Amino acid sequence: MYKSAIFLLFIIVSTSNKYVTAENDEDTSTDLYVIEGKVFPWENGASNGWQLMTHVMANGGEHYGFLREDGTFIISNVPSGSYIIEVVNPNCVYEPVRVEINSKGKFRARKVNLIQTSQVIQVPYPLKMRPLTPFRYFQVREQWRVTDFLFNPMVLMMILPLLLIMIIPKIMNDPETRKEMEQLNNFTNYNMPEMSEVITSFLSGGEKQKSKAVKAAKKRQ
Amino acid sequence: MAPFVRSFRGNIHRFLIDVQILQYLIILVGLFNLSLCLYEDQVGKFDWKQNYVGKIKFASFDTVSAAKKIIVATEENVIAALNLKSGQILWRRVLEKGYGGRIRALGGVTDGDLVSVSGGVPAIVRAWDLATGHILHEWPIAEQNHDRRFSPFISFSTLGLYSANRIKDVKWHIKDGTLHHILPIYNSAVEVTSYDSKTGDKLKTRRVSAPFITQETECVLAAPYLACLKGDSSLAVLLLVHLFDTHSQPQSVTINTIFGAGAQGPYHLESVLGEEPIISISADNNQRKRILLVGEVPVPIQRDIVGDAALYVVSVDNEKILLETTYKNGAKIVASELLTSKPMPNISTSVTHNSLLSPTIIASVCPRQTKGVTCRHLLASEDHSVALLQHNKLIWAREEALANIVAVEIIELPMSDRDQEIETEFDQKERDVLSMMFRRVGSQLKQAKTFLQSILSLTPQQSNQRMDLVRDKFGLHKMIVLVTSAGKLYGIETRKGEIIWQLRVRGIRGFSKRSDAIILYVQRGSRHFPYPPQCALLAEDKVCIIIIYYHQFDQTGEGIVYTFNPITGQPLDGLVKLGYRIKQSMLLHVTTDDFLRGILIFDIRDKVHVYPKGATAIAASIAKNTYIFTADQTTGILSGYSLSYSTSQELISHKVWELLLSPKNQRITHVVSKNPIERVHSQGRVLSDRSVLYKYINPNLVTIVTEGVGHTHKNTLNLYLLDVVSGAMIFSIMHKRVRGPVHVVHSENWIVYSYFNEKSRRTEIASLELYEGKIQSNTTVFSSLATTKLPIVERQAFIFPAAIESMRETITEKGITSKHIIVALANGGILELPWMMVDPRRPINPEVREEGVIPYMPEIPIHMDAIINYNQSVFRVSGIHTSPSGLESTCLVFVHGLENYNCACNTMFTDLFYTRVAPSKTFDVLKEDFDYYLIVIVLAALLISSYITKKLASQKAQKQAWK
Amino acid sequence: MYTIYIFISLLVSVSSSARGSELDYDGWLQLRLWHAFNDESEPIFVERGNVTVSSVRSGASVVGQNGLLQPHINQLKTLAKHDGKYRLKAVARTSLGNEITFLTSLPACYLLGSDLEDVITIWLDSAAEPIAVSISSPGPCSTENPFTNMWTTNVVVKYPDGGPVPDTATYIQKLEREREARERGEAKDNRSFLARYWMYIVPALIFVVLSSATNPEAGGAGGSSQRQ
Repeated sequence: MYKSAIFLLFIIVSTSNKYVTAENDEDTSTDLYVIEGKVFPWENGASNGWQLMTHVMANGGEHYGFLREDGTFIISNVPSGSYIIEVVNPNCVYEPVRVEINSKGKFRARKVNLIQTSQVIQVPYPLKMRPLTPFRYFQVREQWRVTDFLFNPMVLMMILPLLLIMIIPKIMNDPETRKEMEQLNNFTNYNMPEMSEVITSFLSGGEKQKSKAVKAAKKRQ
Repeated sequence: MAPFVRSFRGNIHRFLIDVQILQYLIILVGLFNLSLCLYEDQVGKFDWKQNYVGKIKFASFDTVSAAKKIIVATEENVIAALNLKSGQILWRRVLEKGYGGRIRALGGVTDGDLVSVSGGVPAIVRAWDLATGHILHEWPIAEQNHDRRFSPFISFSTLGLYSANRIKDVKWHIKDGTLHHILPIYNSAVEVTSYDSKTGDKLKTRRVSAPFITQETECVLAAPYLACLKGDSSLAVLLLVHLFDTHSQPQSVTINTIFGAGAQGPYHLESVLGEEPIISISADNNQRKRILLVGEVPVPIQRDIVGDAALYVVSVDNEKILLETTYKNGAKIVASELLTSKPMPNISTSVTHNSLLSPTIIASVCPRQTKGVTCRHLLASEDHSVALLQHNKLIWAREEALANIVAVEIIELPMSDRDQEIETEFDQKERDVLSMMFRRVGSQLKQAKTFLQSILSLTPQQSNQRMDLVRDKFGLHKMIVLVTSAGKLYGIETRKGEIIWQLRVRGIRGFSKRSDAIILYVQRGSRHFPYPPQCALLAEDKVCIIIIYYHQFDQTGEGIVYTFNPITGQPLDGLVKLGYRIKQSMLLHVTTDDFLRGILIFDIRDKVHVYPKGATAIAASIAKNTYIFTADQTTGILSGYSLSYSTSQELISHKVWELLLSPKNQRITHVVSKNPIERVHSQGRVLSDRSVLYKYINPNLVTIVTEGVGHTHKNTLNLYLLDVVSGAMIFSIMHKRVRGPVHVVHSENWIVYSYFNEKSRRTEIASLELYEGKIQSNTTVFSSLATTKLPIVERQAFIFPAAIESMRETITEKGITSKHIIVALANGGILELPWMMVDPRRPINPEVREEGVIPYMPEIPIHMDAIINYNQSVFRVSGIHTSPSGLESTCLVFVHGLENYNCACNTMFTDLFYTRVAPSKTFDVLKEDFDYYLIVIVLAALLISSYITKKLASQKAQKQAWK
Repeated sequence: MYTIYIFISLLVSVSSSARGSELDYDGWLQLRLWHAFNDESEPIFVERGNVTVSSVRSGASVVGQNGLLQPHINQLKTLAKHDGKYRLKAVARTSLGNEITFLTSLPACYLLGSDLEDVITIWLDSAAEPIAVSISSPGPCSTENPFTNMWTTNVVVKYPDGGPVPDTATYIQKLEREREARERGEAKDNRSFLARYWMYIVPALIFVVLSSATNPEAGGAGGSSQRQ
């Protein structure tokens, strides 16, 4: 009976999924510091108001810093600790920097390495954030072009022999060219067959000799 | 030689044709794009976004700059400039989330600069460029210590009188480039500290003696005075302290001089918005109020004002005008001269509009122009909408309630009239041949009639629905039903994001125990013509009892159900008060005869109710196998109830299991169940040795996440998997030295959750996958009670190189399409992460290869082309909603949060982002950019070329035959 | 006949040795068990016995409980006939002195089908506090009399596994190895040009040979077509 029963139960999430934060979880007893730095725009992409669409974020949004018109920023009210400073810009990639402030107020900026957390490659402080590359959100649409089609190796492989087949007989029809060709043929006939013959004889000759040798050996037996 | 050549040529021809066909096939295949990402020209094709700022907290007209605009600061910690003419956002700055970015004060707009005070202790003062929104200065309010090199700041706590929870008592006053920080010190004085609002230099600290101030004293700022109300009875005294004159003594005004004799307490004090130092006092249970001009000699105005009128004082030609806003089926603004109470009908207005609901003026200007005085009022309504009123006319309105969405459902649109006719034709109960034929002929006649009408361009008969609001072939066009925290409901269609309907439900609020959640159920979809679709809202009752001057809500918290039609926004049964408090609810999976799914409601006295009542018998018929489970965050008790002792008249619950996640050690933060509409297509996973590993697919499995509390368990994260039917714990796991924010996705046989690793200081994603093993316990159905074997749990953790705001899995109709996880990143991107990337079976050892399993790498790379919202950054995402479409390949995604976009030239901001994703690519439909012309040309060329070559070949053969 | 059997079994149950499991705390745990067989929504609990877990880390436990009386078995049978649930209440006392009540249940027919064999699983949290006590029975479902009126109880103590951590060590090692291999490979690969690229050269050669072989034929073909 139970085996055939389907136990259905729709559970309505009774505690909200929202992460509830306490109102006053700010720790006020420690000293607070200011992280400073400057963000540089992407050279050619520095349109008007890039400062407006950019902000600096510490630890995924715990603290924000906004850019002045010259690109400098400060992040205020930061207690000592370790912060990943990221530049948020929808058009350019910036490398994040980890800033560590010890309890004495000493600053150290280093490259973010999430895999080897102990590895320290220092970068200068105050921070200088330079764009790495513009974002590429979109794929470039492949457009159908005749040249693409023609220079496709498959097509080339087909069309060239076709051309040869179609054109060479036509050329051969012309008596002068035919003569020239014959001359050329004669010329090549002197060289080319020799080459191939040399190779074929080289490749087959050894075998023949070998088989001959074997036969000879057999005869001797 | 000749035959050889001929045959060779023939072969070549055939071969060429073959190759051509192959070539075109390749092109054809290429047309079905095999990539995940978007093309640039697809921007905005199936995604849209909308702009919101949130509920207005402070607002001010910028009349100083060349471009007139309105500066607003909102509850969502946003500072923005709105276009005066259109209400569009000119610029917007999003401050820190929650407490750290709460805007405390906004000022200085009339002086041409914009200063905001935000955050906790110490607060951050930021000066913004009015025109562009650039930051000019930023400094924290704190004592500067010049001894240290790196300009550290010490918070006010060092002064010994200022703790974080006193920030709400602090009053701020920004005037003439100076920021005054006004802190009442109990039983002694008011401390006024003045700073240069640009540099942060401390100018002066004064202490004005005010020994009467205690914790209970109600004080409001009417600069340059601080007005405090002392005492409750008729002996209450209003004390006015001049903040900038340390020598002056507090002036006192008795209540009787304001109201005359006979006014009843309790009194309530409020400062009147506007430029002037005016306060209003309400008496007689907020029945009436009077205002007092604060000055060297306080002047009370001897006129009663209605208690619920919102006041604003605006100056017109150096005359002070009092604006009283009342609401009764439309907003009415009555203007009168402040001192003489002489009415000014030319300024008074009255407007009726959908978007105005109990509005208050939050900013107003009345400049004298050539035509006379034209007033502009910025009105903020109870439902968070904001509107600009100019001379009896509503210029624009913004639905800011949409900035705070609590529940989302995506609902199918109804069929078009024609489809509905076909549906009725085949939906009849009696099925004899003759009547069916008659119906067939009748409907065809009708179709012919409409066809003729359309040909003769006659007006078609009026339909009761909008023509474009019908279901499309692939079920991509749907209706999004949104419930906002203001109690306003919206219906938005998915194609363009147009608001189709809005509905205001008064007197409801979210469940206070569940962080103000409102529950939305789809009781009947739009498939059951002629029955209208029906949605039900479950919330708490908000009874409003007016106590002197200010609305105080008696929190009865009894449950209410509100039903409405999600397509048209028409209320169906209206607001139904249940008369009990709701603890848990669920939607029944069986329907009544009219296809309505009942709602099972579990009240706090463990009694079970069904809404509507008529569905009780249906609910009782499945009661044997119906279980309810509850989780209490405060007590940590989880309990399960069975309804097996129910009769057809009454549902009876009895507890079958109970367990305790002791609140001493842990606090429940998440309870995540699977999406009830989810289907799992594949029952197992094929291993490299061709054997099958069966998935543990338990529909009753719930993930419970708790965070450790107390010293020893702080920064631990526990995750439990609980079968809520049998009450059996399936699995538990514990992470040490990690903290939130935690985000959990629970689907099929896997759980993916993210957290912050304190030790390594990085965000990590852990992934669990459950398997029954090589043999399946029950091949037909899963029974929680019959399965005793614990599943095999595969687990793995990954480094995620960005902070996560929200996560959700994609869902499709039949579950064939592979699952992706939609991850909202803190930097504004929305990432489509294939589940394959967080597969716990990704082998560390690359020799063990399984199909479709990528070798393990500790870090999950973020590919830019997997960001589905491209440069339309969405900040502070509060939720992601996914819904299947009619296509198996496609999933609809709706993201709500504060969205911030930019493009080099024009600026738009949005809160809502909608798009669709195809996790396994669109395998079941041609892409919308499919090149029909190319395929036609190619086919035509092929046909012609084959025909021509045939002709040519036959000619050739003929010629040769003649030779 | 109706004497009360005292059945004490000593069972050292082995908790599943999941990888990474760890428990910082150890202590004892005492469970007092009550059960209800009545076929009503309100349970009537009668005492069943007790379980003592002397060490939560090892999971060693002693079970002391009375056998079932015939009326109880009959009740259980009626319950099983009506698809009812056997309910078990467990009051846990920990070494810290906390007392926590748990409720668990299972379909009564499973108990009869397995001849009163059941498994009591005690789940602990990371602080070694019990969070759940659940009863299960292998079954099968039956409404017949059990062979015995004695309980066969297994006690399993479970505690949370340690969470997975990203495996960076092997990855770094792998990278290291790959780097070394690459370096070694670069150093070693000093073979001659021909030795390295023979696979490209040979087809090219064959192609040349073939084309030179067909060339005269093509010329011949041209000639032949001329002749036609």
